[in-house]
Amino acid sequence: MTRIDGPAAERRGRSDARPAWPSWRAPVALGLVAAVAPMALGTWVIPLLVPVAISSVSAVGLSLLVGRAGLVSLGQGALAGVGAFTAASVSVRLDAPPELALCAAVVTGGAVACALTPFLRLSGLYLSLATLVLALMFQRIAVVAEPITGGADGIAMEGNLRLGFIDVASETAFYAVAWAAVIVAGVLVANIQRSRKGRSFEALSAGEDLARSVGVRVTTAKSTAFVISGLCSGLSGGLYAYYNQFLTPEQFGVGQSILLLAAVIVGGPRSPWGGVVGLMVLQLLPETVDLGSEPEALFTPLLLLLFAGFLPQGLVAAAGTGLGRLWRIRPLTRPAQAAVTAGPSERTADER
Amino acid sequence: MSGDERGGLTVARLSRSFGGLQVLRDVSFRLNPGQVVGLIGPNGAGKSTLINCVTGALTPDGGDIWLNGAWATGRSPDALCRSGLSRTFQHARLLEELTVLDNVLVGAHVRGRVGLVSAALRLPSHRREEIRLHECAMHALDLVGCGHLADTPAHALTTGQQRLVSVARVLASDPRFVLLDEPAAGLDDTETGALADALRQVAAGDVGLLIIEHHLELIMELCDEVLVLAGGGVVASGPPAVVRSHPAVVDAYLGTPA
Repeated sequence: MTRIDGPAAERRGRSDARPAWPSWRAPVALGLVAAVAPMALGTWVIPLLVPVAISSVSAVGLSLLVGRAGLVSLGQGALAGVGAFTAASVSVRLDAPPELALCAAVVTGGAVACALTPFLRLSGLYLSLATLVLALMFQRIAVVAEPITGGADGIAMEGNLRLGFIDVASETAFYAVAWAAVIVAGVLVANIQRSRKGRSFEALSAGEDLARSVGVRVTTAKSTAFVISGLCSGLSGGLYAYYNQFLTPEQFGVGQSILLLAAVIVGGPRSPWGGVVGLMVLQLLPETVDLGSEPEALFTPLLLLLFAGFLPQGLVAAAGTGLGRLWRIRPLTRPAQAAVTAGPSERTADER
Repeated sequence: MSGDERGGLTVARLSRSFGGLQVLRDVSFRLNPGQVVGLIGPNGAGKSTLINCVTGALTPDGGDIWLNGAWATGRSPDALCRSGLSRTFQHARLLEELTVLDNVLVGAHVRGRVGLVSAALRLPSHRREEIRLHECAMHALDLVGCGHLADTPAHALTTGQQRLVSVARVLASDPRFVLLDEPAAGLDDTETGALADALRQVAAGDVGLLIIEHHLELIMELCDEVLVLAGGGVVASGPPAVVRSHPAVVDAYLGTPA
């Protein structure tokens, strides 16, 4: 009997078929860097790093969509805006506790993403178009929806973020909460990437026909990836509302969406932490190095072009390869490659 | 040919045209569990179109398909895969950033049940399922003789190894019927032998195989029955020894004596 029956099946050859769980090194390293940075560099970095952390929550979700499912969203900034105005209006108009407002922000971010999923029945191009239209229309919609958003004048939050009995009043406390949110979101997304669902997203990037041939419900998989990115953006927006304490529609323009996409490309789309690294580069470099106004405006698009053209795997993957070369953390070519069968088919995929 | 026979894949009078070009014309065959059927024919005979129609990638213009007694004409490829009908492609189409094992795990998708929340929180049910899926994927890899390549990045494989891994990927879905589109293309003799051994073992496990292949010796060695497709229609069928001497096969593969 040679049917593939799983654990009970007769097996030959390699016996260590244990799953490779997501590594804890990246979240631990990120947590350490976030904890040490204010102590090592001074508290002046906190106002710089809190916006990076808040945007990073959104970038973590976007990396799953771009890097795994191969779909491009140009509307993550607008989805963050949906989350932000939801948190603000639930908090101010309904006098709801911050925990509930944050939950509402997450849910509405996911719900708006869900509302766009009919565009996913068509090719990925239509999601990009739909999200671009959302990004372009969001500010106008936010102005028109004055009873909820406060219109062009914006809406001011009342009260600080509070999680249970902890009042997140100081900027330092908010810094800790924002980076904790990044790490939790990143760990959850990394776990999804290493799961059956994550592999169904991977299959999409090889072509919808291939994904269907292995049993993946293509529209469901694409929708799931997009809704996860919407949930993350909703949380990001909710945190932004409590951090900034005042929201106007201008804060959620199409530029924010492009910044997030650029960060994911620059940092590395295949890693949930790539967007975090990308945001550090794109948001911190112009703040710490005086580039002048014109070069600063061109900084993000130029870096996006450079990485898309010459380093598409992004900084995280490049750093991983570099570290591997330096310290041989893991061999670049596994011993198994030595077992390449001799013969006319010995050429590798790269050589062809 | 009746469609109500249970436990088989039945294709009856399948037709398909593109514009004015009739690519398939009243093609009928039956694939039983454990049976190996070869599908041969010159380029442009309609072999890949037939596979595409049977697996749901193309909708046939006419005819019927029954899978295990259920009418399956027009069902989507993912639904057919979940019902036990899988396929390989002419090109291996591996995900080059992933390891060989991860590529095969993509094929094991239909064997999992655990949802997104369990995966995100890495609950025990998800851990158990991942271990089970990894064992299935390793078994499929071992079956095609590529177990030692499990941790190799897919981009580092030879063409032949990529082919074998793509076969392992489809076997990982625990199919009842597999349609293989030129599985031995680009394989050397050793790899072709490994592939033949693997396919024999798979068929011995009650899995029906339909193999499109230009490697005539492999077809003659492996198959219980051979279909010859030419001009969109079946021109000959029967045991390999009979089909080998059929004029259409002699003309297409062995050449007509001058």
